[in-house]
Amino acid sequence: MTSTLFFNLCGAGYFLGLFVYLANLALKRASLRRAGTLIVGTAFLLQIVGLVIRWHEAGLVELAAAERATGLTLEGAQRFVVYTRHPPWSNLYEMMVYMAWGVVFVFLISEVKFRIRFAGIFALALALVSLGLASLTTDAAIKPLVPALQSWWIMIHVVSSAVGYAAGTLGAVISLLFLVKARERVSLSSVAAGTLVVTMGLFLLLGRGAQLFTSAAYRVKLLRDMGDELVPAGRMVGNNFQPYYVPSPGVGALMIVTLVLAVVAIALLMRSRKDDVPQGLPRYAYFAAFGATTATIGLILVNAFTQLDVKVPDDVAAAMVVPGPWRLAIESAQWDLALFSIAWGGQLFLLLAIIFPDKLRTLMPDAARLDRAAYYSMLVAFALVAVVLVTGALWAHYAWGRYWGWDPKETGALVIWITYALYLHARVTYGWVGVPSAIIGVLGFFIIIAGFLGVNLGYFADGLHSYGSG
Amino acid sequence: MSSQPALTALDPEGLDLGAKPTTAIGRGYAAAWQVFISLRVTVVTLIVITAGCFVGMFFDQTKSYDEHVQQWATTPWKLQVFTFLEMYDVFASWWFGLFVVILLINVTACSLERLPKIWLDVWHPRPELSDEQLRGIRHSWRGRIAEGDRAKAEGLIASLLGARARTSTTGETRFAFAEKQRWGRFGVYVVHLGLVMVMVGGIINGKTKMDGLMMITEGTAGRLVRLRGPGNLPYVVDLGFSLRCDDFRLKTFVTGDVMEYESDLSVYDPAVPVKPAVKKKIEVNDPLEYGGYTFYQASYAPAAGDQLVQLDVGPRGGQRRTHSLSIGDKLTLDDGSTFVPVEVIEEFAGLGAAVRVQETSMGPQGPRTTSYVVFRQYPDFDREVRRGAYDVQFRGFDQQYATGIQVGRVPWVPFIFTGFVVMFVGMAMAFLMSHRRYWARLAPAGEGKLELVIAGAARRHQYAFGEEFERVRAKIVEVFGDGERTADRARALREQRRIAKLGDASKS
Repeated sequence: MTSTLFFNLCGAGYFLGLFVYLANLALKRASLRRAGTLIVGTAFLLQIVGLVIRWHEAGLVELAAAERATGLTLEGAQRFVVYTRHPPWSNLYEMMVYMAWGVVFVFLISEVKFRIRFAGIFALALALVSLGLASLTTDAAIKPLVPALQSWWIMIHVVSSAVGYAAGTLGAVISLLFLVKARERVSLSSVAAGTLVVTMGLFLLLGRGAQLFTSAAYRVKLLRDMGDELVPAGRMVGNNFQPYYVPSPGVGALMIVTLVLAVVAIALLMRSRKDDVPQGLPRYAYFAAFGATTATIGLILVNAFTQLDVKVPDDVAAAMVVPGPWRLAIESAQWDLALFSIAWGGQLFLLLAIIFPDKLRTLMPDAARLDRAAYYSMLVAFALVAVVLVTGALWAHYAWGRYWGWDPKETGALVIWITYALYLHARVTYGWVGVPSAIIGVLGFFIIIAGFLGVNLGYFADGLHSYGSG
Repeated sequence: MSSQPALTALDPEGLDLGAKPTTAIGRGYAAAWQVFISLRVTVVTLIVITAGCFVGMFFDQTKSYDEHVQQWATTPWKLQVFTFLEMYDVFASWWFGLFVVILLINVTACSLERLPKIWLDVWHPRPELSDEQLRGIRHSWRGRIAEGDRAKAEGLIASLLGARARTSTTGETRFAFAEKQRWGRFGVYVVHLGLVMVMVGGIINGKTKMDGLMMITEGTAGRLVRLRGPGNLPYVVDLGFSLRCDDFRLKTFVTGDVMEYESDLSVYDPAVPVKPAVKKKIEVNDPLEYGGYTFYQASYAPAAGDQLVQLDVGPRGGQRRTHSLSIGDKLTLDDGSTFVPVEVIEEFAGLGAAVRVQETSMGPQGPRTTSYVVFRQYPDFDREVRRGAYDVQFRGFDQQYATGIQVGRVPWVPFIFTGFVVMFVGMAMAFLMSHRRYWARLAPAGEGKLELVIAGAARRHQYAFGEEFERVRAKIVEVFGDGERTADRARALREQRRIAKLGDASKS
């Protein structure tokens, strides 16, 4: 499909842009700065073109399907309605592409408004993660829209959700930058400990907590290579397909090591949290925890490429829907990997900050500007998530007969909104400007992930929004 | 305390509106009030509600208590916690409801507590800038100018503060005051009002709403709605009128995926003489409203019971007509010939689905009954192989469907949606508007000099206002130069705190 080509080009553009931004940080050349903006801007435009083309392609699919089903040739207004009713944000693949667009869009706006080019590195990295996840999802093909989505509400509802969550994500990035920059308010030791806490939380949550410790295993999906695509192995339980999970060799043990090292590092860092840059033992403890995290993620990746023939017990093999041989791949744990990588990225940033504290801080915008940019990002996120909730309620009222039904996806959006409401209230009324609000801001990113993706990915109960999974 | 003036120009928190309560009840009430206006309560409540949301996301709320217990309550204490916290129906649980009510009271109380002060400050500003007030203002220009420049200074004030500025004169001092977008100050309270409307409407709806399901088979009518009560236990409500599904149509794509589905509904109401009272085609996103209820196309299901067989029957080589028959039904043609599908064979010797038909027709020797098989995959088989007086084709099955209709009655929805609108209006006021005030003062300073002060303060978007005031300052500097070095805000605040401390110390 032409649109996919454009998305790939755009991904390459963001990748190149990321390097130019990094080079600009190191060398500080006006030519590099201009080149970076030019590359990212071009890639952004390419992505818009790609989205428009995909809309057109989806329109053709809709028309063909509708005409074949009804046996009529559509004309005039009717044709236009069917042609345009499938916007390029109607399944998980498209949502991930669209989220990447949203993050870059919000970043470019804030770049113009607040001059925080530094945040661009993170925005581009997150956009690339999002595009990467999109390319790993299996539903890149355009299928006709399910009846529930055939509504104009999808336009405003989904558009505001993507831009709102993107603004929240950028707010989280800027909040992290603020925490690193604001030397007189919070020490790098505390922030470094914070990144380890987040990593631990992710490891415990996605490693299924107790299971990780009792069996020392981190389980990932088993896949069958079908040539052009990877199909999850599993069995039917009643009418439901249940994917089969196998321990990724060695990862569970490494995760436990990481957790132990992280606990030690957090304890040491918090004991010396008065020191801005950790020295001596806490410093090496942080390095060790970072190394262990890197090794864990590295091993998951290595396993994805080397475990090409995974053996399972015979009775399990007999019940599998698809016959072997089964293997592991990136797709075995793509979402976990993405989240781990994001936490790892945070750790890496803090590692660099600990090694080159002064260099990094002079490169960053000043703390007041960062705080202000984060605040406005959150404000936009709050307003747009409100739009998401209200348009969702109106749509649900007209489509399902109830404006609010505590469907997991609705609840997820509400939780995100409450988080930003907390952020704003804490700032305005507690005067929690600065560190406390920045911490809420960073955690808000993970709330977005839980509320926005958690439901689609099956971490929570299924709801009526199930067409978003895949 | 009551004599202490407002600390800053825009912070009326120093105002004390009421006297201390003297009775025990009064004190208890005051203490409770202090709890409810506390932002700590807001934060705790929001966190509890968020936790409840996560519980509700994690435990599928559409499953019944028993299903959850089977899956989760593996030990007695888990069962106790699960049951006590009503985790199977958390959004209707006692504790979730309690915290929603606490939030409601908290939002209302906070607004009621703060609104009068803001109201007073917004509508009764102090247009005459005092030195004490000036100390609390971050942005100002202060300087001495020659007596001869009075006209120039007044012209400058008029151009900076605009035509709508209020001017006054006390003694020989001239004051001017102007403000912009003062409604922005109420944005937060408008948002809270909208939120309260949504929550109140939601709570009332939660008690009075109806959200049930009817499955009506094509060609039949129903008047009972199935609902799920506490703990997902089912119960039934009588609508008082009946709803008939005249037809249900399912359109699928070639792949078998559902494209769309719709039902023709008609309402038969004993209270209305017209039969049917209403007819409407409903589809997803396009419901029928009748009698305070809304009927939405929600789902469909193959109807249990009769499977219809579609047979095309016609004289050999002539026009055939399609008939839908259930097994055992007799089809009688004009000439008295009868056709009865007697049996469906799902798989006939590798040739696919087939129907055995029993035909009775008038032959030369009187009525004659034959029995033969027609195949779905080979429509021409009968005409070409059996070569009877009539051609019979087996077109397929005519599946009867039951349409799934969601029946909703949410009487407070207009109120709630108004709440949404109020909320957005409030957000626009709060986020886009910024209450800004400008003061100017021109006073004689002796030695043939005048003292000119121009100050500005904003409630929101401080940085943007800082830039705005810099532009104002630039205009003043253009005319009168840099002026005096203004005391920085930190020093002014230190001074203020010192004065406040002195005041407290002198009282005790």
